[in-house]
Amino acid sequence: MNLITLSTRLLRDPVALIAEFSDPANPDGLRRLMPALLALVGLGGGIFGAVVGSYRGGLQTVYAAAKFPFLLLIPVLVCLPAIHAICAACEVEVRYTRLALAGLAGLARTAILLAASSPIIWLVYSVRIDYHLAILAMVGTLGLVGLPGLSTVVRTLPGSGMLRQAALAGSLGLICLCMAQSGWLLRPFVARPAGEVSFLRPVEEDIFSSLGATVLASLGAYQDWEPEGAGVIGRTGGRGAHEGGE
Amino acid sequence: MGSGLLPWVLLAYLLIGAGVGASMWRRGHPAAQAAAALVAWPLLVGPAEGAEGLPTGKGPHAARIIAAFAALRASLAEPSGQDLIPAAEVQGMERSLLAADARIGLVDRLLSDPEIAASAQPLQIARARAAQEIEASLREVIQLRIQIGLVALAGDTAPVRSRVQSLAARVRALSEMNSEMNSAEEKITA
Repeated sequence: MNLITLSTRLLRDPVALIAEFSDPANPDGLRRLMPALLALVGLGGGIFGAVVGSYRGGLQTVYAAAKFPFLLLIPVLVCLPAIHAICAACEVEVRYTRLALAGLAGLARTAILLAASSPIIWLVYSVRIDYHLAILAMVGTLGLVGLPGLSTVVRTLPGSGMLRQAALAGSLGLICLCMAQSGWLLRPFVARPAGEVSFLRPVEEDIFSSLGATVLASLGAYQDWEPEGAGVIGRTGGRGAHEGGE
Repeated sequence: MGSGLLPWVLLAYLLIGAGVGASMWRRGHPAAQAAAALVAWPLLVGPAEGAEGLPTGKGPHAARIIAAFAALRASLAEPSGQDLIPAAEVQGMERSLLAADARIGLVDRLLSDPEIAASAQPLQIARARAAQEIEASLREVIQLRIQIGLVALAGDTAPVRSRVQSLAARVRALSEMNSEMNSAEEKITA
């Protein structure tokens, strides 16, 4: 299946595609579809990343394009076994292969929509909006186009009732948390126009403290936010580290 | 990037991915699939699937059976083919055929030992009959697809039902042959 046909099927009826390739009678379905789905995630995420990086321009465009597909992939790769366990605990019986295919198909769908929304973000960035607004525009777009991807996974889970709702809430919460923190680890995507270009910033604090400071700053209420080293892979970072971008 | 554990975590991740990819490559998977495993190996290395999975062993006809039933499902997905045969029935027949084929694969591995092959005539006969029956079932699937196509023109669904019954009978016969092969196998290994 070529990428155009696959994109069409992902946008029109992803559930039928998942059902076809995760059928027990088609044991190689996930393996056969995985390269094409990863290619779509790489292409779509790369295009959106390049546009986001264009806020700073230069090498940052390339860096952001290279990192963005991983921002999409890491949460699914890391959280999938936990989501499978949550589903099992909530008595939602879903095969691991089907869940993996649903996660990857949802990601690919999101990546296609990200690529489609890139011209709008490019247009918004071209009028030189404030740095914090640029970050919020990126996060908002990601949240908006992530919904159809999430709905793909939601519609794949069988059953009904409170336990299914609990499994869904747990799974989506886990994915969202992991994606937010992955974005924090892989930053900067949007860099200040006059800031230093870097592939990755030092690991410090977490996404929530930074987002709070960003929201306040975009409202004009600047506060003295100073990041500190965090987690087993973190190290102490200074205030200067935060000034490069997010 | 920082001086923490991150580079080592990444290295370990990629090494495991390379191992999974190399294993897939050795087992004959295309290069694109092996390369994809390097990045996304956690999706492939899931917990063991439960009873709803297909028979684990693969026989000599497995690829053809899967292709034939995929084509049958495609025919049934056409507007004229919808609701003609329940999906569970199609899946059940495919599972039975794959199980019988996996059994043939097992017998083939047993017969590859010259000492066993020399004294295993009943097993060879049962194996040949089972293989013939699978071939006949695959031909039956093609006939069934033709009948589904004819429904679009003639609108008569009775021949489809008749073909399904014929195919189901062959699949049942194969299950009985499995028992024959089992007893022949037990005699040899006793």
